[in-house]
Amino acid sequence: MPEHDIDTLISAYLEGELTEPQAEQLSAWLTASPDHARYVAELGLLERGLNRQLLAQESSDLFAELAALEDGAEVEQLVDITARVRSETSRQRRLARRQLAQAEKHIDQSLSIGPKALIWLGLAAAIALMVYLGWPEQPSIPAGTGIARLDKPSTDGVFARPIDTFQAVWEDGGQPDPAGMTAGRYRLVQGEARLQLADGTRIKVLGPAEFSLGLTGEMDLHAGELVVDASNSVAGFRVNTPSGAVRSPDARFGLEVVDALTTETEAINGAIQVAALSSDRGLGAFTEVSQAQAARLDLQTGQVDTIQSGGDRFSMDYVRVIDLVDIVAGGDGTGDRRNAGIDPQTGLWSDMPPRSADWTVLGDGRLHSVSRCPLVAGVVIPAVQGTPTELDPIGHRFDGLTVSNCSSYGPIWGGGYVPVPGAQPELDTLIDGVNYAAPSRGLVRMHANSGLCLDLAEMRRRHPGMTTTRFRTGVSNREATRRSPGEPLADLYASVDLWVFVDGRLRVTERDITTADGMIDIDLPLGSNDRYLTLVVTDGLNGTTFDWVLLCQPRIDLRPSDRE
Amino acid sequence: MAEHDPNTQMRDFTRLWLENQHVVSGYIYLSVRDFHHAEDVIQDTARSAVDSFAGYDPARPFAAWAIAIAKQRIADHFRKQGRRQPAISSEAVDALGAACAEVAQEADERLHALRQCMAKLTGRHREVVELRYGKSYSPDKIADRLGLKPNAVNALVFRARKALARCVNQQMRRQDA
Repeated sequence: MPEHDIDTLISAYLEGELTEPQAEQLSAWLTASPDHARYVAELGLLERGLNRQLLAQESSDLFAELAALEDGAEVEQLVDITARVRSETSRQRRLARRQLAQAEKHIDQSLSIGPKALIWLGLAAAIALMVYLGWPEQPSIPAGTGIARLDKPSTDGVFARPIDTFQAVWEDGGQPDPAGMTAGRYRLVQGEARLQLADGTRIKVLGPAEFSLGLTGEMDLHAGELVVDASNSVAGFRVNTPSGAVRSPDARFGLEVVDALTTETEAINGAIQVAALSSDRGLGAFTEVSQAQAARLDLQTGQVDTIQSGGDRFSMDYVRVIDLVDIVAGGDGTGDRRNAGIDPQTGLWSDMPPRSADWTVLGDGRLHSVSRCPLVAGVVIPAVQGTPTELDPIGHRFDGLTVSNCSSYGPIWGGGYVPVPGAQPELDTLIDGVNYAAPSRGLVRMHANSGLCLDLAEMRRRHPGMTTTRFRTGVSNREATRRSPGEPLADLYASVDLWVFVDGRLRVTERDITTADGMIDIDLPLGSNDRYLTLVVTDGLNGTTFDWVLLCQPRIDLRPSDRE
Repeated sequence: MAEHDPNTQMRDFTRLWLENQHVVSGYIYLSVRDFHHAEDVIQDTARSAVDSFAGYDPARPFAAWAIAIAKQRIADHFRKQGRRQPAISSEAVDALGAACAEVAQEADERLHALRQCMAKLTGRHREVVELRYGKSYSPDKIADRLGLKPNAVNALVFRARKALARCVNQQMRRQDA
């Protein structure tokens, strides 16, 4: 049964509007697979959660309204509010009935008791509601900030032992003594090294980096990038940098000394505490940074600033990230090229967006090579459903793509900014609070209908000893047009489908993506023999209007072959 | 139950009910469909389960025992409402019951993820969700209020629900990772 039909059935079921024939269809579908029943069960749980959470919020609002009433409040107001309390759900009414009955009794007796007493009766009713619905969540109180520091040398003089390294080159060609690294300053010129520290903490250093060891439970990072896993530390771990300090009792976190004045840090797993150094006041107070949040320590201002976090800037694993934005913009995936694109109709690359009149392009379902981009195996405007579309240069085809007409709109663009034709409003690149047009992020803009084929084998050839392990991206459907100023970016009918193929095999589909979905994460494992990765965006058979899709921070992870 | 001390029985019942309430209430919710009526049926089921607990065999799974009671209370509910039994087949309802038991294992995590996902919902989708679930407005009433057709409201609610479900699943996958 088509997905759309199932959605209609489930929607009717959840709204209590199922007809007899629909009920039979749904029953058959539900019993056909445990996954089907599970899907509906998940939606059922979600509905109950929505009811509970939002009703609790409503009751909380009533509570606030009652609490805000002054002593001299009119009886009518009290009647109104208690009536609203009473008119909540049947269950709530039953629970609040006793209190309301008392309130009404007193109201009936006119002003024989003061308004304040009525307020308290009303409050009692509201409290009864909240007790049953659950109190709204309170902001959590930060955990204790005290972290013991063991300011004493390790007993055997060894502060760290190398666990393993990857393509690591140390200063003057020397390697750390496998028996242990003693107090001192170390410089990793390139590559990566994982070290086990004396207190149980593990760190990964990414060259070029310079650091000092000399105390158990802490270290100094003078330059470069470091990832810390303090989950097995004896009493927490602390890293000092030229612009501040980062510490945690048990978290995983990363930090980079960007320059002599700035350090950036991100909490990977668990919360961290950070403090900025000030040239005149010394180290400031520690403040908490929650999991997946990031901060900048600024020596010039002595301030800690919150910065955007993708939650995955740092990793304990050895990983080389190939940036697909750089590739589309003409690079090899290791640089930070931006703001160029490929015409999906011809494969021509340009760092200039097309003229307004040239945005609509017609296709032929055939793959077109892109001579300017060595890691792009081709681009395609897919053929209409039922007609084969070429997916890669070795002849894999697929005829099930949801394409209503063989055309597209504008280039496959690696940004930076996203060009729009003529006077169209700019595309909203702020998704879930993160601006993917920022230099540290990046996006690939693909309009329905278009496809991009990437050469995985060529990537591996360019990185000896590494293999492709994952394709990751966020996907978001953004509209370019608001129908009126200030209107939210949402449209009922602007949905797209995303298809991800590896060597002609369909590996991921995300159907019916709309602006309401925000960001959808794609995380696809890749094998060392996979040759071509093809990404296709289609119009979902509802036309190409408004189908502006952003692939946010699209990347391919390479890891050492021997650690695959 | 072998244990006859009422206090101990009540303690045992409370423990078992708390452990299994997501399963039972999930089953009831999917059968009754209306949130408020479902809550009533859950209460009735809990009351009946307390009354019958002396006959509960600890060798049997509590959830299955409680669901058997819930089935009777659901039937009572529809009888009182003057409606027929839920339209989907009993096999489908059983399949949903089994799925509810599975989903209930991760209910707390899912509800926590839902809170985070709700915070991301914006614009019209958030508006209709708040009116539908927060204020329990009917699609017609929401349509009146927002100047839309009821069908468009249903479509918006469904899309928002789907987006939230997708977001919750993503959060769950992230947690697993």
